[in-house]
Amino acid sequence: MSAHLLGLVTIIYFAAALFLLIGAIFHRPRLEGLARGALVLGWGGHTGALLYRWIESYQLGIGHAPLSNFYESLIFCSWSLVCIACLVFWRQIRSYLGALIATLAFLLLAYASLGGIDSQITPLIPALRSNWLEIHVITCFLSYAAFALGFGAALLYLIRTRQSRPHSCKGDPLPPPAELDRLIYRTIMIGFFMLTLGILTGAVWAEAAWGSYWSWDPKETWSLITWLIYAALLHARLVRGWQGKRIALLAVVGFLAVLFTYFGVSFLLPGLHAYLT
Amino acid sequence: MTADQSPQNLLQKWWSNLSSIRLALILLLLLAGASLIGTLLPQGEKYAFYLSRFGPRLGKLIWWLGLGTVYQSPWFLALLGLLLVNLIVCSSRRLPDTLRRVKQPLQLDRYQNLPARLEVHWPAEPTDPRPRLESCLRQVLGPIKVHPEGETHWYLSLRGRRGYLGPYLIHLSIVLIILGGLIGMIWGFQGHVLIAEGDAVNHLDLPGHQESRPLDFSVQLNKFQVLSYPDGTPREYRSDLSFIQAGQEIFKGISRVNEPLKFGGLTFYQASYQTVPAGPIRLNVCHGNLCTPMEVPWRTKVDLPGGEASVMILRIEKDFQGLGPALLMAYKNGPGHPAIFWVVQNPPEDMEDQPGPHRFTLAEMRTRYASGLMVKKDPGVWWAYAGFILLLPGFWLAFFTPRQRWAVALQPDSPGGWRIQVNGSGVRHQEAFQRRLTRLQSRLEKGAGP
Repeated sequence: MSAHLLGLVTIIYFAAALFLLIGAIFHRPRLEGLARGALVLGWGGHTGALLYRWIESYQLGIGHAPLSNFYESLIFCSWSLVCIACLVFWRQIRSYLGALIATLAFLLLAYASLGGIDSQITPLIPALRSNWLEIHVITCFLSYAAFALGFGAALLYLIRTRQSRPHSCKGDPLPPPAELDRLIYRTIMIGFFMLTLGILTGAVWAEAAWGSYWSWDPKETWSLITWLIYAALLHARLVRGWQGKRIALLAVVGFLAVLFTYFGVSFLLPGLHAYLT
Repeated sequence: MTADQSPQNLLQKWWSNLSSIRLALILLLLLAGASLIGTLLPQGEKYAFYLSRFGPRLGKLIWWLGLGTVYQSPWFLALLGLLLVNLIVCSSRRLPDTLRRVKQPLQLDRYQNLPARLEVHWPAEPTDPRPRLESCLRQVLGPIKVHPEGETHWYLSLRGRRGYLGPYLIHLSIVLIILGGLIGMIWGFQGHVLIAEGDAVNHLDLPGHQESRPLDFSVQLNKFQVLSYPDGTPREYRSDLSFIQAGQEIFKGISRVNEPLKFGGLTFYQASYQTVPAGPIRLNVCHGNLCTPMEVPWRTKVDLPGGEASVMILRIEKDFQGLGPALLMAYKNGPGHPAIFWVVQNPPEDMEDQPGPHRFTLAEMRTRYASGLMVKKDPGVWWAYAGFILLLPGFWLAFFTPRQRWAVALQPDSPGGWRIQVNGSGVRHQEAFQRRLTRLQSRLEKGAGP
């Protein structure tokens, strides 16, 4: 049942992305408003689908939060992205940035619904039966989502500053570089905080489950690499006063590390975090 | 020779390099790079592995650079140590300045020239406008300092001044976490025990060590259980343990996955389990029409009667796919590789034929579980946890406590009214600053009415 609802949400996100793009290209503010409304509507449905899946798992007698395998992580990743975008950066979610976020949310859901990814609700293995599961997964994915937004802003910044015309014509759908620069900083600040929380909750959990709060498992190590890159970015900006292009490039590199932490480690590097495959 | 190269100056230069943010940035990125290598190269393998996998030249290089054990290698620890020194030196160099800034009373000359943000006019009225303005400012800006200067009244406010301490708290937590890791590395250890149900052990096997570590008590496994969901997948592994000292049980508890058991400064984690025999294993071995009963030990190669064939029991199961007790056997008859197959106590009709010429049936086998426990001591854990906890207020102060400086001037205006000028800045948190400014504006404009 929740799968049908998710199918609908996927279509809504796609439509939102499309309308935001068209609205940005042809300067149609009303279309943009419509698309933004669709995004919120889609997110409502998305939340409902997650809750419904949770209830379904209880009906099967194995009740647990829908955060336990690769399929559920994709669904939740998409949800976190739209959540952060709508709740924290609502004013910035327009035109190309909005289209980018809606596209990402759509792609994640579409990928999840492809064949080959097991969407069954299965019982939790003993290692995952812990109160730390929810808080660890939620903080980690909120950090991924915030970093994805930062990546989007960084991309737009790089495109924006590469354009030959220095002065924007009226109604330019790209926000001014200074605003994008600030957005990169704000998203990464939130992402960094969430990632830190994610690593800490993971460490406390690992101490109980694996016997060590840090065991250089590939997922742990890659989250540390990501953390170090963003820590360097924040220091470069706050202490050395870096701005603009260099920060945007670091934000892109940081997000590549995020992608590898999420997907690369799961599929390429064997380790303790092998719940996803 | 310039004065720059005198030893004192050189030392000073070193010192300032050691505490520079530049070094911190380089160290952060180097540590990221080193960690990356550690995830790409297989870790903790033997010398021969790297030689065969990467060739004699590259394999040797990897070995000698310590790339097979990146996270324990001297240069990685040196990088961490350098980061530790950099953090401590950098923070302690800046801290006095910051403390002064946090404690310093607000000085007019530093606030007067903040960027002008807003101007509001209050009309003339018989009462003194100052108490009204003060209460309004206190509500929006918090504590304020009044500073009269001639006809002008200045109201100064520094919001979120504790925020300056955030980075120091974060750095302190990182130092605690790294120290905790080092303490655990030096004074902690990790061992392993495998205990069969009913048995007790009084020593730990340490990985990579020949001798085991004695305990001043013994651990007895009373019972091991696999609890399942309705569909049969495992839900919980648990070991019921007793701790015995001088023949007396002094503590009893359960170690589960995700719920380790603590005793005597050690932590016992449920790590693995296996089935072991609880008595002799008896087989019937038939060759043609001749059948002989035979007792076969576990995991030991034995010759069959006649001498030309031999068997070894590799593994036993309490319940093999619902068919009852079973054992996995290696059977070698003549040259060539041994055949490996399951011998089940109650074989089903369609059970695959054994290769022969010997045929085996399982006559008697009683089993019990053995539980594998990881045993650990880590005195550094509380240091790291202290760091974890301190990180939270540190982050809160550093990132979510907007620092804002405000200076509001009240001046008599020409037609007998008052002019209120608002200056302020909130460099790193412009959105929060803007929100407060809007609030202040609406309050001041409301306050203008009689």
